[in-house]
Amino acid sequence: MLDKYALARKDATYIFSKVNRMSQPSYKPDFYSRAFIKDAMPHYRRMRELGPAVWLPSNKVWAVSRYEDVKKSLFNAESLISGKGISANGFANRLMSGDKKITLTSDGEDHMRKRGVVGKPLSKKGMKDLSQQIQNEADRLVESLLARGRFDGVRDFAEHLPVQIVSNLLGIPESGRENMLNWSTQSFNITGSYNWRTLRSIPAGIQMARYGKRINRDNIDPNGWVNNLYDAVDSGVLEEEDVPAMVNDYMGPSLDTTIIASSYMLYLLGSNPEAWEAVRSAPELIPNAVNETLRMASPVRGWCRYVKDDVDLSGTLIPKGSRVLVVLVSANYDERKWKNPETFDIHRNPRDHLAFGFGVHSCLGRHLAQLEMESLLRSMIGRVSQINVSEPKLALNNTLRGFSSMPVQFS
Amino acid sequence: MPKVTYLLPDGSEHEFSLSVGQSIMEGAVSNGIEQVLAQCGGSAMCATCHCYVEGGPVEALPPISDLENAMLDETEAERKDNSRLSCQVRVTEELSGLRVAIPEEI
Repeated sequence: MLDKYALARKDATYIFSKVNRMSQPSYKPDFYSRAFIKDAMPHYRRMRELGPAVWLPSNKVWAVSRYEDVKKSLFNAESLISGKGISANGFANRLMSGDKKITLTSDGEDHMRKRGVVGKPLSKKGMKDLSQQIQNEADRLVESLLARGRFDGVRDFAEHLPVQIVSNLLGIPESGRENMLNWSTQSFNITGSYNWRTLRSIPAGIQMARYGKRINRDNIDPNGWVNNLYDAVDSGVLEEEDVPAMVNDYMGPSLDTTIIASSYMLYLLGSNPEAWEAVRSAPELIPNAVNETLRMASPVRGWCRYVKDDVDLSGTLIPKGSRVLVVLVSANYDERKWKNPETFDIHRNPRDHLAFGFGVHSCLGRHLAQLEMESLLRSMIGRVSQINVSEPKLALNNTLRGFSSMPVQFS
Repeated sequence: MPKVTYLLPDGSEHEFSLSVGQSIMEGAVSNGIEQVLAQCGGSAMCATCHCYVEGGPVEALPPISDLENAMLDETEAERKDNSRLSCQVRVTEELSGLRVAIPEEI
């Protein structure tokens, strides 16, 4: 039977959301524009000042940018769901909310089940078995870079471990794998609002999906991480059809994010020679260096959630049916939480930074990223006395923030 | 209100009154015990709220679920017989007087 109140309810919700928007702070600049990305810190500061949730009319999302509110929003995965996509554009959200969801865009029980499978080889324990291999590779890398003198901090230093080691660990077919880094970079563009970068990323997204579909039991390494998905099919936890999309749970986030964090680490230590001196003379400061880097780098700017039920966020009502943009990088620079947030302080260990997100969807690869970064530092400590960095070049990406190149010299 | 005592790695002891239904992890976080990271926010997915139950009415503790059991194998500090994920223990009146130690490495 037709619900005769449905229309009235829809109207009321619409009017209410208009009224609500009028009475709530809004911030006009386009979050995904070139100008915003190029000089983002003052924007984030302004958004934090305006309130717990700020309406962005250019992007039609509510931005949450204070530390405590970001944490609260990510914790509230029952009302702020991922299953209708985590993008700021409808096209990508429809793509992501199909039947076969990846872990990143699943909710509830379905998400827990998938997360358990994908995360299995990424546990702390799994990392212990890997640590020697990664350390050896990091040692070799640092020695060759020292011999070379000048190098690029992104391509030659930061890309090495993720591209050489991690893509091998996945155990996916060789042919086409060389595109993995480009595909994953582009997949971070697709989650922005509609703009040139979003549109340009679509072909890469299609190629990546095709590559995923070509993967089968016969062309993967039986000891690789992707094979773990087939093991889960055999034990009845996943369905065979879940696998092609879920390969992206490994491919998508394992490269760029760590590459950005590692090159940012070099940048911060090179620009703060006294901090590098401190780490060299007290290697127990390595965790500080890594966590403080992760806080300041915040490789993922933020992702969206769909508002399933009205949510009261520290006094601001966010109406059902809208989208919330959770700004991780802003939380990591929130002056309410951090003292001198723009200062790299080697004597603090900000273990509660939100670069990996928070809550049920928090980064599954965190231990791997930390292991890679710590290994690089350990290799550098005995060998590199000075890190000279020149002005890095900012990469333009809707969702990632980091450098595309940075001249460096070790001595 | 049930009372829970947290023993911190620096040797200090902190007793807090928790509401029934709150988890030991939430009790720690809301009272400013920063040692407890609880990165996954209490969904038994990260093992960064690991604690050792050191005394009190241990017989009133809820059983360890399969999920918690699997996560306890992932803890940074050694898993012991008295290891629990503090997010999976909800406080009841019967649990008043519980003493939990927070490991140095979490």
